[in-house]
Amino acid sequence: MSSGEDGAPDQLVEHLSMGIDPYEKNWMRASIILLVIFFATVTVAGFSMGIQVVGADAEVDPRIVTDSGPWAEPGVRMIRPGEYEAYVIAQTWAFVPREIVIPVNSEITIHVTSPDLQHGFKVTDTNINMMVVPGQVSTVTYTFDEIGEFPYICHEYCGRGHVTMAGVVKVVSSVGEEGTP
Amino acid sequence: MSVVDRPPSSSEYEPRFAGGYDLTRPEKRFVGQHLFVAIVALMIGSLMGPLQSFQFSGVDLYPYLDPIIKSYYQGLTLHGVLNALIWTTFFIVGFTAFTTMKGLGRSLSHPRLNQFGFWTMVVGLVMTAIPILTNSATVLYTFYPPLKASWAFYLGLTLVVVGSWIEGWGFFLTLRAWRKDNRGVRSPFIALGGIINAAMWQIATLGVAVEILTMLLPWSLGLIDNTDPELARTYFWFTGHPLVYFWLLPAYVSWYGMLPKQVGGKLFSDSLARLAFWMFLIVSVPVGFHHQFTDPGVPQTWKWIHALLTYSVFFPSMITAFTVIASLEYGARKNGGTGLIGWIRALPWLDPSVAAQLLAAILFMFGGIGGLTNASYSLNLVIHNTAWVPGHFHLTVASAVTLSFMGISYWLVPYLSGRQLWSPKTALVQAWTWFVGMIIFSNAMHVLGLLGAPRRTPLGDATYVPEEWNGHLLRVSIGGGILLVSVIMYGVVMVKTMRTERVAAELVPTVPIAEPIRSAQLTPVWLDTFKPWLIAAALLLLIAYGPQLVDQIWNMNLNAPGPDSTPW
Amino acid sequence: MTGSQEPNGDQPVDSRAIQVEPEAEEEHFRPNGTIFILILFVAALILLWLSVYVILLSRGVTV
Repeated sequence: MSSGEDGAPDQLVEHLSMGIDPYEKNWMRASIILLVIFFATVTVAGFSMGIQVVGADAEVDPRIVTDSGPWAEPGVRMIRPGEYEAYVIAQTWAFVPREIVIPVNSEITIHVTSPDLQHGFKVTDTNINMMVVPGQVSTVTYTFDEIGEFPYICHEYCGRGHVTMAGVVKVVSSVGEEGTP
Repeated sequence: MSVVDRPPSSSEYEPRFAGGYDLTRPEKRFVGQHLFVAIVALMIGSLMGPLQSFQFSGVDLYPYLDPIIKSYYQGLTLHGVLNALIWTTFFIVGFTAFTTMKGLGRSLSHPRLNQFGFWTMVVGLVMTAIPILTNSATVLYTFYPPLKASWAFYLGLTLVVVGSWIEGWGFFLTLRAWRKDNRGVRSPFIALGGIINAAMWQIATLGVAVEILTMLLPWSLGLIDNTDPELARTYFWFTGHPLVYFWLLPAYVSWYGMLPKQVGGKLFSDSLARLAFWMFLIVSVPVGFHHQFTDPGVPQTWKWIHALLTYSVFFPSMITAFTVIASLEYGARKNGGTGLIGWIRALPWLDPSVAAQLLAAILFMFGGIGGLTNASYSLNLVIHNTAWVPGHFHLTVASAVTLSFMGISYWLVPYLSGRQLWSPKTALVQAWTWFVGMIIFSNAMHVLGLLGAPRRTPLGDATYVPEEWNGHLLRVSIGGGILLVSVIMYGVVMVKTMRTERVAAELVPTVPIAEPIRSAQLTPVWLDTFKPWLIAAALLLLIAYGPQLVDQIWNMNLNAPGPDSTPW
Repeated sequence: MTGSQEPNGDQPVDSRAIQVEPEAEEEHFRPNGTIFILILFVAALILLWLSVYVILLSRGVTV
């Protein structure tokens, strides 16, 4: 069914042509260039600057996750000076613990999971933003380099108490001075 | 030029799809039934929205609704389901039935099939509505497990989707019948565009169909005890993002294929209009992971690939921006418009149908900018699940789509009912109030999101709200109030229009169908053929979703039972 | 972009057979105003998108 079999070449060109206006052709080119630049920019941020989204880390059984292991005693632990880890349980309708206290300029790895419904974990004014899904562990590593209070808020609907579900990261000048802003 | 072979000359076939065919009374009634359900759903759902916005500044009116609506979240579920799912789906299917018949210049080939589809949707709607109204499905329109709604909610939604499939088959069969009778003729754009959308919808809804039939329905019936919430999210967003294009493409049909005529012009490029629609068929679906950037359980590589594909689905919208604006400029200049932008004043701004759609398109430009931001991989960390997101989709589905549909209904309802629009001035004010209300509302929501305010939260009750949010929360309420006035005006215009006397046929609005500047016959055949595009869509889907989906299904862990008691 | 440049063989009759009116004065229409509006749009797009990007960069690394 080739279109060339019975037509002169110029008719063929006309047949294949989409009749695109030259301005529009340039607009399409410009759009592609713009999108490529933007995409390159976000790729750099994500994969070489380390502003990365959460990936597939670990799975747990939400029915028994709080019975044993680190999730049985959620909270913050110091691994070595300047390096902390926190296990946080998001459940209806509170975070356990409600408070994470760490010294400024220390790196913290936060693991969050849920034994019941889906929740969210977003720390205000930081790039920490994760869904919390039963059966999955959401993990992020972040360095708090400013003293202050950073609320963490549940941002997924989880029932009538959702609006009360929040906690706070307190970044202090050194541990021991808990509560000092 | 000489006429070769059998096909009729252009003068013979043009009138059949350029406005010649008048729908029969039963056909008009059939389309009208869709619009009736859609508009009733919009009215009820839109009464809930402003209540949420008032709550943000501490004015909680929910206690006054107590006998009917028990909570903020029951209201929010109604708002989301009725506005985002029911109003859109019923309007779209009805409008596609209309553009199929009007565009192809013939009746539906299997009208009873389409009627069956419609009534399936209606039964589904009733089944969905009952549990929502009795507060046993307060799960919002995303119904993420293990929030467990009544089985009737899931079955009802399934029937709505299945009904829309059946209607879609009716449209395909009609197109096929038309093609048999019109070999070598390019299918009319308004019909083809709607039917491409129906095809995309069939592919897209497979995700939510599998989610409900293999997990949520058996679980809500007690046949299985647990769910896999992450797998459910992947299924849901398989459908959830193309849903956005399912809403949008009928508005594009109007912007490309009708609005140019309404402003006295022509479609600037038939080829590119079709190319954009085919691209939407291919790239609308394999982009769902961009809703799951912050999900655990999905590897970063797949998220990144879907970000790339989401960028590519932005491209046909960029084409649309050019083609639609150029079509408008062409019309405006024909009507005496001059200057670099002065021609804009020569557009018929006093026609409420035109004004509504132009304003919708302006808001959509900002919706597009926000959408590209959402899709930009790490940038999603700044705004995911914040108030930014509802701010964004109120510019898209609640403006580009809803305000366009309102604009369409300003000629379509009079056409179908044999009447004239009641008080075009009121309709015009309605369009502008929607525009202004939405600017105030959505701008405040975007800012709140950047400041860290969560979505889906009655912020009026939140203890973590800092001082600096208050002004924006108030603006959300003000925008919501203006939108409430606007939607009531829309309801009044529709009801009053239907209560006026029927008028003589020549006084009834005609259907605006824009001719392309360059004849559609010159559009290449590959832009009028389903097969290659469907194959491409299937292949891309397999590559972009296949491995991760298989992995998640293979490693499915049905282990999340949800809380012991109803959480709402 | 997408699709092949080959005409698809599904449609049995060659469309060239159908007579088409030659393009008239429309050929001279150049959408200058469209280009102007779209330049404004792209400027807004770059500005707004970059402002969120700057927020992202200011909010720290999340390895």
